[in-house]
Amino acid sequence: MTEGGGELSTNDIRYMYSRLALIACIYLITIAIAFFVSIQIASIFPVAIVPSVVLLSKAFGSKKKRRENTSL
Amino acid sequence: MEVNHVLIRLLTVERLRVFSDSVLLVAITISAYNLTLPSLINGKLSGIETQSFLDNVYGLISSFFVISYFWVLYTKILDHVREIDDIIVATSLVFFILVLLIPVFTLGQFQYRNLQSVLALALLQIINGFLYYYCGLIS
Repeated sequence: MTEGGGELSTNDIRYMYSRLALIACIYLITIAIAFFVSIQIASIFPVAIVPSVVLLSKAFGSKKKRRENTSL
Repeated sequence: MEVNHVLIRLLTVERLRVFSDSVLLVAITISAYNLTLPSLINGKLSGIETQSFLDNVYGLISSFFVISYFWVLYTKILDHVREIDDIIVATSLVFFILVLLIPVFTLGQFQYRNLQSVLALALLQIINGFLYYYCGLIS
């Protein structure tokens, strides 16, 4: 028996795993930066990239919503 | 075998959720606990202590966001757990231990700023990500 809000839809699953992949990808890029660019940049990179990703997703999300509204 | 059944009956999803809340809360508190203001020497701030304070603040902000992120996603997984078993409990416990290490490793990265500390934090986060993924798969 499901204890929460029922079965997950494919969209929910895709949303959760894409959010999960985000942190792993950010830290994989950090390893690459640490090896090939600079340790200083690598230590700042994850702190700087998270707000950037959030802002970008907001920007693209609102753009997509606006396009959907105009098409309706 | 009987003991095993009793343990599983005692450990409900709700209890695991409360436990995860408290563990993640402690993980965030650890980094706030390290914050001590730099002392004034002859009216001037101590340079080393100021640097250490700033490292702690960066570490707190960084680990706060990552831990909150993991908490939101983990709670979302628990919302849809069908039934709790040993594998879910064991995976969750390892996940919690690694989450508790995040503030320590983040602070280490900001203080040492060398390849080993950056690699250690990155690998910790990647392993945490995969554990979370595994929790999602088995739930």
